[in-house]
Amino acid sequence: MIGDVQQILQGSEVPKDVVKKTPKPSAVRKPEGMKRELFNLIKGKDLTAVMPTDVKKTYKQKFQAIFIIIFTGFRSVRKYKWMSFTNEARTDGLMLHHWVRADKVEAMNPYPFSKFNKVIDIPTYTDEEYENHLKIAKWSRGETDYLFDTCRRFDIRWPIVFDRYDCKMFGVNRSVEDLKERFYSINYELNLLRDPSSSPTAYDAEHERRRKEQLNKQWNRTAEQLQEEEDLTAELRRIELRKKEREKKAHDLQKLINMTEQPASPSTAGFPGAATAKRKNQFRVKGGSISMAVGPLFNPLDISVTALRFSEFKSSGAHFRGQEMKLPTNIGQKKLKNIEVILEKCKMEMNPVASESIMKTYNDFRSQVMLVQELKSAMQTAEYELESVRTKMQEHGKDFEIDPRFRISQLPEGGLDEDLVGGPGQAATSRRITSYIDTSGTKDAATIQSAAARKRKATATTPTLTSTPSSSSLADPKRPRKV
Amino acid sequence: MSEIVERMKKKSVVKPIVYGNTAVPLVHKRDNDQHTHQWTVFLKPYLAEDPTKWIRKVQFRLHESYANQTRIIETPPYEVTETGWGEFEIQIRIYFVDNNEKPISTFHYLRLFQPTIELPSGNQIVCTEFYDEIIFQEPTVPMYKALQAGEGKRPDKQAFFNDIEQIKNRTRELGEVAQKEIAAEIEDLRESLKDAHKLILKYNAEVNREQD
Repeated sequence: MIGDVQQILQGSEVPKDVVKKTPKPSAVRKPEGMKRELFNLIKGKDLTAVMPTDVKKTYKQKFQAIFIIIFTGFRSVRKYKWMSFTNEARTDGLMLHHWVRADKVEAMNPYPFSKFNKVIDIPTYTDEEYENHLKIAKWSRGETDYLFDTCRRFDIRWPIVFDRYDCKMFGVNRSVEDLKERFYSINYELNLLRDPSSSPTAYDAEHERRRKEQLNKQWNRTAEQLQEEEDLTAELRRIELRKKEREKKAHDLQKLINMTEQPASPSTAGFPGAATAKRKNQFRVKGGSISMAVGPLFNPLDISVTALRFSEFKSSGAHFRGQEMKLPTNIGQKKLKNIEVILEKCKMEMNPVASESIMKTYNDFRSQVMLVQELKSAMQTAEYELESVRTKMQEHGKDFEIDPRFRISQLPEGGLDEDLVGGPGQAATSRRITSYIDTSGTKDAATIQSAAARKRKATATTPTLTSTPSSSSLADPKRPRKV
Repeated sequence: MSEIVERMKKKSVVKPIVYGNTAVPLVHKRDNDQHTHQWTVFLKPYLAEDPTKWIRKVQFRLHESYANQTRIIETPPYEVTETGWGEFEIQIRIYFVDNNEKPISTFHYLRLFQPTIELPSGNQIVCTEFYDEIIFQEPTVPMYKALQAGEGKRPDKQAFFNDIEQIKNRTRELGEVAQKEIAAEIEDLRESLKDAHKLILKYNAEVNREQD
């Protein structure tokens, strides 16, 4: 082959030693019926494993093979004998004939198929045994005998036994369980009589009946029932998930509370001491879980933190006033977004011109926005607590109305209408700015308050209450310095 | 060279300034570099005064695609005029007459398309003017003297297209209105919270009584 290639490429004579070296391509012939591509792939390799051992013969080849056998005496024809035989399984001694290979006559005696006629030994009972041990009110002697006969006839193949069992004969309707129960209980009694140490036959007819009933019911369910079941399962899964989450959060909160109770710990060192002390009393833990009924979550007097620390320029040197208005860089996206939204809604600029009074006004305003965010989330907590205590009251047959001003979750974006403001139980302001504050989704594990509120929110199933306050504010006890 | 820098204790001086840019579209888009606008970035003292008394030089740092990216202007007007096709941030760095007073910098985002204002001639140009104040806290003694030498007392209104006093007033008023609104809401929320707190305590006590 290489020689061929060389010949094509060079067009010169092929050196003889090269030809000798190349193995003869015809050493292995392509088997009939094998694809050429496949053969090219495997040719020259060890073919013992892949050589087809059973190649389909064409009609012509088959004919030739038979021809060879017949006319060349390749194999002599086997001799068969016409023999009579009796089947031992039969009781009537019927004699039949069949062809048997001459060399296998011996093997056919006794008739090899008779062994497949398995006979189950159905126990029998005497009159005395029946009278003393087997008699029950529900079954007559005659019917019991009939049952055993039927069982014997059909080798206890219960579906057949049941099918053939003629209930009309004794005027009692029997289910297959009834039949089985009777049969097996007698079996057991007899076994006991004959061998007191025999193991009991276990057949629980009641259980079987229930099982079949259950299967029937399951089979007969309607599409609606199936759907309902699926929905309920999904709901259950959701509830369990929520429960788990709640437990986890309760655990987290517990940790945080423990932290505040050790004021020396570094993680709380940043909190103002007074606030820490107060906060300690805000939670009470009962039996490992947060008890909502006992301690109020928030202290309304406690929320007075200024959230933002603007750059302070205390050292000597020159700086632009504008830099005093730069928001701290560590402020979260959520807060930033809130500030942006509120500034826009109040038609204020993000980066206003920087005179001293403007700087003060704007910086204070943005801190106030943060405070509103705090208050709003505290308000949500309060609303939720009111709801939960109201539910408890209702369980005791009492009730109270929750004033609209506590209904922070129902505050429409853009604030309240005028006629909903100022009345008894109503909010004192339209809460326009408050309504634009987004309290959802912020996270700040550093604050107990937020964690607690988050915890509460998590327990609420109402989606409007699943929001979270945030306050890195507590980490900063100082108000921004007025310049 | 470790000389002690003497500073004016407890003194601070405020120098208002205005920076910004103007821009006008070119009549024809230039084929060689695709430039569409001519613009001027500037920094001016807001008050009518001679800035050289306290400003040594102003450095404008342009986009890196410009030749001589850093332009240093040592005499007023402190401005750079260029052509271009895009907006970018320009760093403005102010060096003071006393080298011991560290230079300060700010950024101006060059505007080419808006806001536009109408000139008395009826032409429209793009113009932004941003008011800011430089605060010298405990300036060095020479710097303090230099700052005091600036005679500016009243705004140099001729120098600007916008009525900056009016902008300041409007901005302040908006801020104050918003502050009032938010203060009222804070008070409202606080009161509501307090009352909610009381109610929760009260009803909780009732529930507990029921349970006992």
